[in-house]
Amino acid sequence: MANQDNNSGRKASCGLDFVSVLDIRQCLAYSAENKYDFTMMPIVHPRYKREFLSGKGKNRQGPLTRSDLLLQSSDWTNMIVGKMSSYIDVDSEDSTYRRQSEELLAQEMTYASHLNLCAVTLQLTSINNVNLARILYSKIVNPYSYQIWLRVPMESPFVQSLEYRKDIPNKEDLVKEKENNPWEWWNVFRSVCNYNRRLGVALEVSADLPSTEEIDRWLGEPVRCLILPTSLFLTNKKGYPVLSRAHQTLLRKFVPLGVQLVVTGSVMHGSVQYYQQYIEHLWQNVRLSDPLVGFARGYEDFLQCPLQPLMDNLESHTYEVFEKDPVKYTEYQNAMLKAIVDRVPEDQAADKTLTVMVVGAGRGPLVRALLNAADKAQRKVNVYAVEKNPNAIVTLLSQKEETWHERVTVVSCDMRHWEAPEKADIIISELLGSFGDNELSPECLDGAQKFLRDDGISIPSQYTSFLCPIQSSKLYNEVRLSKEQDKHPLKHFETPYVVHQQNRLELSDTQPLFQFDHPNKDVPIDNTRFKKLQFKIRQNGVLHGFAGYFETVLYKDVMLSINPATHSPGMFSWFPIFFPVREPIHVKEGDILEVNFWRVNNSKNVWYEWCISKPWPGPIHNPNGRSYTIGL
Amino acid sequence: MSSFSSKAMSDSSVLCGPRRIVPTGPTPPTLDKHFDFLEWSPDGNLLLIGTSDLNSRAWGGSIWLFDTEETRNAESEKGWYPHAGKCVVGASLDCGVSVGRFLRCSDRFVVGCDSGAIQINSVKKYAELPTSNGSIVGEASLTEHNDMVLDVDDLGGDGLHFVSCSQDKSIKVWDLEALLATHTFNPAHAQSVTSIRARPTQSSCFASCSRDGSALLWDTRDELPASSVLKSNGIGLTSLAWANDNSLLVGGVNGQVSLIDIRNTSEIKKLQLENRPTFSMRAIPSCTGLIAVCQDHSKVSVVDCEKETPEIIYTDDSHEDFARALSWHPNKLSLWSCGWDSKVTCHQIKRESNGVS
Repeated sequence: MANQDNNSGRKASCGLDFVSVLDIRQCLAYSAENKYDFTMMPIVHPRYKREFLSGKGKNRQGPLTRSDLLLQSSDWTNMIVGKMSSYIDVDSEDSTYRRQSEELLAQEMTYASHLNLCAVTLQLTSINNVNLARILYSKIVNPYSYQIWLRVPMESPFVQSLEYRKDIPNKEDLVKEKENNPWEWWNVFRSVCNYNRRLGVALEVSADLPSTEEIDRWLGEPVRCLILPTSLFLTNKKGYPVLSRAHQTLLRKFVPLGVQLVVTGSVMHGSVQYYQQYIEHLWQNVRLSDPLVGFARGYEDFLQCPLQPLMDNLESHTYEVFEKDPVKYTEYQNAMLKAIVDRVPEDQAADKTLTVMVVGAGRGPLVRALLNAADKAQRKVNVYAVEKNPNAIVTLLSQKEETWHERVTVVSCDMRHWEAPEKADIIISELLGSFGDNELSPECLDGAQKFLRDDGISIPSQYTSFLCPIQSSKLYNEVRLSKEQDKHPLKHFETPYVVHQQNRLELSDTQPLFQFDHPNKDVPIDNTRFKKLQFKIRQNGVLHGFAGYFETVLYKDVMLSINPATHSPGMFSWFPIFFPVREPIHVKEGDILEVNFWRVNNSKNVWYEWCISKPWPGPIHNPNGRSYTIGL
Repeated sequence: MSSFSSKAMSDSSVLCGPRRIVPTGPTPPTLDKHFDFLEWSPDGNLLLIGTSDLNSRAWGGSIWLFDTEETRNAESEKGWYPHAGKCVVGASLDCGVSVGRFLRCSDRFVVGCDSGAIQINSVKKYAELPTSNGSIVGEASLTEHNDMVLDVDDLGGDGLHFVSCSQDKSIKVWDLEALLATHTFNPAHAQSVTSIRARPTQSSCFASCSRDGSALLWDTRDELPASSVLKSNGIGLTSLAWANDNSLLVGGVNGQVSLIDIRNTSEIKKLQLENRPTFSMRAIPSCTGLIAVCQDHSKVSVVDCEKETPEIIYTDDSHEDFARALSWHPNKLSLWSCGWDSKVTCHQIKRESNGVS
C-alpha cells in the first residue's frame, strides 16, 4: 500500500510573477536570492505587438524578443513559466483581430516550445473561449513538451467591478449568470479540450472568497498553481505579511493536491522574500491531522486494481501492510469481547468453552485479537483458524507451535469446502473490500455458515456499500490512460479502481447501496442486488464517476467505516473504490442524477454493472462482466 | 540600454515596491528604438519623448526632452530621427515607458511604466551652472499598480490630480501634492483598462475603456461612481478621447470608432478606420472636435467629430512601422506623431470651417 515514513510538512514550491523583465539573468538571480523556486514572465514583451496580414508593420525587421542565448537551456526549462501576451484574443468577434491573434498566439507558443519551457500560461477572460481551446488543444495533442496553465480568477472581475456601477439595478441576478462564473469558463474550455491532462488551472485567489461549495469544486479540478496577489496579505504587528484565517484555510485545503504558488503584484511589505517565507511557514505547519494522510502519501489519485484474495493468494508484504492498521484489529477485539461475554454469562465462565472459527485467518491477526479478547473476558475458547493460502498456513502453524498450542486448531482449507468437526458459536472473518461485498464476503460467509450454530454470531454481522457521484478530471484521466492493448476498448472505463481520492469533488451526498447480513437465513440465498439511487446535484459540475465506500457492523454497536461521514478515525486499511463512467456528464445544480447499480453473479464470477438513467440515459457499463469480474 | 545605476534590480523595477525616489542617471548615449510617447510641454517649448526597447537583451526605456531648435527637423518631408546628442536632457529608466504627460507646467511630468510604476519627474536647472541644460530629477515613484500602466491623464481643475489605468484592470486617481492615490477602483473593468481621459470641464469626471468591450463614465464625487457609455460585446475597446464636453469618441480592436453623446448613449455614430486596433487618441486642445487617432498600423488619422457624422479629414502614412503616440502642439495647431520606426513626424492639419486654418 504505502510508505509510512514522512509525516512532516511539505516544502512549498513558490514562484514569482514578473510584469516585464529588464534583464533576464538578473531577474532569475533576484528571484533565487529571495528564495523563489521559479519565475513567471512574458517571453515576448507584453506591449510588443506584431502585424501578420498586411501593411508596413508586416515588414518589420529585427528579432521577436530577446535571445535564447542569454540563459542556459536548463534555466529556460526549469526556472520560467512563460506568459502569453494578454492582448491576444482569438475569440474576438472581429475576424481580422481574431486572425491576427491566432498568428500572434502561434508565434509565441512556437517560441515557448523552442525554449523548451515547462509550462506556459494564458488568461481565461470569458465563457467564449472555444476557439482558444481548439487552438491550444491542437498544440498539446502534438508532441509539445510543455503544460498549459490557464489563469482563472476565483471571482469574475466583471462581477467585482459591478461594485462601482450606478446604472445596474439588479446586480444579484448578474452574479448568478453562468457566464459570470469563472469555473464555467474553465468548464467549457477543458470540455472542448477533452479533459487533456496537460491542461491545468492557475487559480487567482481573490480577496473575497467564494462559497465553500465553490472552493471545494476547485479541489476537484487540476489546479496546478495558486496565484496570490500581494494585496491579499495583511500586515502583522511586526510589519510582516500574513494571510487572513479564511485564506489560510483555503491554502491548507490545496496543500494535499501538491499545488505550486505564485506571488504577484507590487511589493507592499518591505521585501518580496517575506511572502515566500510566510508561505513556506504555512506549508510547514500544515498538520497532517489524519494519520491516513501520512500513510497514503504518494498514493494520491493513484489507481490500483482491487485485490482478489479468493482467486489469488496474497503476498507476505500485503499481509504485513494490512496488519499494521492500528484501528481495525482493536475494533475487532472490542466486538469479539462483547460477543464472547454475551455468549457466555459470568456464571458459566468456568465450565463453558466457546467454539470460535476464524475464517480467512491470514497470518493470524484475528486469532491474536480473539485470544486477547478471551483472556480479557476470562472466558475459555476453542479456536479454529481456517485459511486457504498454504503460504499463510506456515505462519499460523509456527505461531501455534510457539504460543497458541492447543487453544488453536489450524485448518488448511477453503472455508466453503471445509467439513467442520463441530458447530461454531462465533464465526469471525475479515473479507471486506473497499466496497464491502466486492471481495465476495457474502459468498464466502454463506458457505461457512453451515457450520455455525443456529443461534451463532457472525463478526461482522452486517455491511453496507455506499456511493457518491464524483467530479475529478484527474481520476478520469488516470482511468483513460490505463487503457490496455488487446483488451476490450472500454475495459478501463468498466473496471472499478481502489484509489486514495484527493483531487476530486463530491457532487452530492453519499447514499447507501447494497446491504448484506450474516448469518443469512434467507431461502434460497440470493446475493444478487439491483438498486436505483437518485442524487440531487449540489452545484454545476461534471460527473466523472462514483466513489464507493462501506460501513460494517462488526457486532452490535462496534462499527468500522470508510464512508467519509462516519470514517473510523485513524484506520487506513481501505482506500475508497472508484467506478468510472465512459463519458463525463455535465450536471447542473438541482439536477437529479439517477444511477442504477447491479450486483450480478453466475457459477464462476460476481460482477457489477452500472448505468446512468437521469438526467440523460446512458449505456450499461460492464454488461455480462465483459470487462471486470471477481472470481469465485 | 543600461538602467539607472549599478543597483539595477530593485524591488521597484521588478514588481513595484514601497515608494522609491527615482535616482537620476546620466543622459544615455542613444534613444531606444521603440518610440512609445511624445508630448508637448504646455508652453510649447519642449517636446518630451519616451522610448523603450521591446525586443533586445534589456527591456529598458528612456525619456528625453528636445527644444524647438531641434524639433523643427520634424517639419521636413523625411521626418525627424532624434539624436541623443541633440537633446536638452535625457534619462534612462529600468523598464519600458508607455505614456507621459506634463502636469500644467513645463518642468514637471508623469511617466507611466511597464513595471506598473508612475514616476513623477521634474527638470531642474542649476543657477551655479548656467551653461548646463539641467537634469531630470525623479521626485517620486508611485508603485501601486500591479501590472503595466497603459494610460494617464491630467484631471484638470486645480491641476493637482491625475488618473491612471493599467493592465491590472484598475483605475487610480492621484493627488500630486500628497503623492497618494485618493481613489482606487479595482477592478474597474473586467479586463485591462486600455485608456482613460478626463472630461474637459469637470475635474471629477473621466471616461475609461477596456478590452472587456465596455466604456464607462466615472464621477469620483458619487458613491457609485461608474456608469456605462458603450458596451460592444466581443470587441475590445482600446482608446478614447473627448470631442467636446459631452461627446466621446471610442475606438476598438476592429478599427471602428464610435461617437457617443453621454447625455443619450443610445445614439452612436460610427466610422470605420483601418481595420486594426485603435491605439491612442488625442483631442485638439481647443476642444473643437478634432481627434487624432493612431492604430496598430502606420497610419495617422484625424477625425472631425463636429460634422453630421464623424469624418476623416486627414490621413498620413509616412511612418514605417506602427505609429504609437500623438500630441497636438499647444499653440501652433500642428499634430505630432512618433512610432516604432524611431521617427517623429509633424502634420499640418487644415479644416475649412470652425476657424481652424
